[in-house]
Amino acid sequence: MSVRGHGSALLLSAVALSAVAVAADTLSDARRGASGWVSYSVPLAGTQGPCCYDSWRRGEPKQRVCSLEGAGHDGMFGTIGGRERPPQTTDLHMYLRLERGEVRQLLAVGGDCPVDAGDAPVRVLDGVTPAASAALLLGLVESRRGDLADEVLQALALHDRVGTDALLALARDAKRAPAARRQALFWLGQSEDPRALAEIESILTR
Amino acid sequence: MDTKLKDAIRTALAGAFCVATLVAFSSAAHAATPTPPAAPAAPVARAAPVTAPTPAPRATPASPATPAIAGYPETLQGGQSALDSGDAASAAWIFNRVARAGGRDAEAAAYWQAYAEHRAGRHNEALETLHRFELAYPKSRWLKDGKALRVEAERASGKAANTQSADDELKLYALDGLMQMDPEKALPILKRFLAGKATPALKERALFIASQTELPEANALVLAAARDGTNPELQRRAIQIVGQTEEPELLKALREVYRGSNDLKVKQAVLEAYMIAESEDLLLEVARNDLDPRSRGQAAELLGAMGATDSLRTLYKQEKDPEVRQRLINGLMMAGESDALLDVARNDTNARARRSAIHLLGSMGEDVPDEVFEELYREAKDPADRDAVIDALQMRESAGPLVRMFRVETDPARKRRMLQALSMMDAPEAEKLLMEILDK
Repeated sequence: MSVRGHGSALLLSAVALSAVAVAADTLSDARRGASGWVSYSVPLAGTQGPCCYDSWRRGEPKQRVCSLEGAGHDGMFGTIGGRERPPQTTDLHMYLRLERGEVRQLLAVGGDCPVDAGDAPVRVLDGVTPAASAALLLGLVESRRGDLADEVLQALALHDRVGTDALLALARDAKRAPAARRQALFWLGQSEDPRALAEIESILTR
Repeated sequence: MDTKLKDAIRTALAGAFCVATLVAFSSAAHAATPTPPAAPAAPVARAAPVTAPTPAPRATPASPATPAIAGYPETLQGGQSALDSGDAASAAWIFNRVARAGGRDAEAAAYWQAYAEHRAGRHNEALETLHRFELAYPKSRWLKDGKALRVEAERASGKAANTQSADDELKLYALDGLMQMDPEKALPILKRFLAGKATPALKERALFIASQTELPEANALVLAAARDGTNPELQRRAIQIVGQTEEPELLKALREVYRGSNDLKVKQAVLEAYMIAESEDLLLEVARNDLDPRSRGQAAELLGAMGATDSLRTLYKQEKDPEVRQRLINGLMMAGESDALLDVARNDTNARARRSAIHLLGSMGEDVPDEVFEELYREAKDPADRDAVIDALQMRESAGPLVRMFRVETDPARKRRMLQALSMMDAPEAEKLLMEILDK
């Protein structure tokens, strides 16, 4: 299965892609001992996934593409308003850079966001469940990878349903570092899931 | 050669050695102080929240009781210059202005405002600013510096890392989460929270978040808190938030709060809110009409901080109270009005006012050329005014004019004062003159 990405064919055609569909039983199987970029998709929470925006002119970005090399993205990352809204999408594309099975970099973008992998091959994983993805991300929080903390929690927030589950669990866990709980509540605030609002209200009114 | 003069030079040179030693020592001490990281030349927004970017919460403005911002442009670099000159309070003000203006420097300015507030000793304000910065720019390149600054500011403010209860801390996080939510959904929760039994600090936070929704009902909440004298800290914070909204109707409503209060701190908070909102008319009303000279004086300085030069000039002509006139002079300096100050220095019949104006002119750097001081010196009839000019030139480290004035001055007392001033300067013209005199 080729890497999806609306309008990304031109960019990715020059990239050496491993187009072999890897029927990994679990995400952890695919990670084991591996190095390099892997990618998979899960359902997106909401309908607008983030992308990378650069070269702004008159309040509108002229460039909308994320680069895997060079620490992921420069310019502005997120979703934006403006005269031209990006198309709606239902997919979240996750990109993980592995080093001997350990996650070193992470990028979570909307399914329509063009991604430039440069010369780096990207191994596409099929069949990764949202639960497995959320478990991986929670594991990263537990491993206290401070340099990835923001990306991890943001990526969790973008997972439909399971993301909210994970963030709620984080926010409720008194043993978690205050910074992690704070970030979890921050991202719950961004969520349209009614459980997020209910949780926040319950904290404030007890 | 006048023996007393030679003695004065020798004493001055001995003093200069001591001063030079002290200066070298203090420079070494200053070098040991960690310097802030250099501001980026052109900061680019690195990341934004997942949803459409929320407008950054309005930053808390720097305390209006700040020294002059004259001479520093309202840019990131201007704030840096103020910091480099040791003027942290002005720097905080400038960074706040840049952050509020939005634009590409807003993110860096938001961090630097917190830094400057901390340097100015306003640690609680710095913590508040940092908090808003972290919310507005969760992926900022300045986050790590912000975290380090937070630790310093908390230590300095006498707070331990976790002085509030764990439950209160979680509520604070929950409030921050609420800030990201749909305002229509968040506001009812905030209203219930404000009516409940939370700590004043949490209620202040909730009130601020309510004000950010920009819903009419939120404005009503804020105004109610601004009127409620039963919780003075919350009341003052609510008044400040009204200033931040810049809503004309809310600001006018603060008039009743001002008139109805005997609490000077509440009155001060209202005046500061007027300044935050740049409401010159409301401040002018107080500066003109308030029966309390302290309030008129404060309004005068705030008008200066706003750069309301026409109002200041008019007020100065009309005001009779000497203390208020002094504060108007301060206001003129804050507004960068060197011409008006020169007029005071030359023509005011009050000696204290003239000397104050001369001193303040001396602090205005390159905005006031050296020739102005030489002229003032020539025109001054009162010897104490001449001394004030000498002191101002010393403050500016302007050796050239002092040397020229020394050569034509005949009064030994003035000459000695000039030599003392010159001995404190590291200037070739000063050294040349001193050696010249000793060789005679």
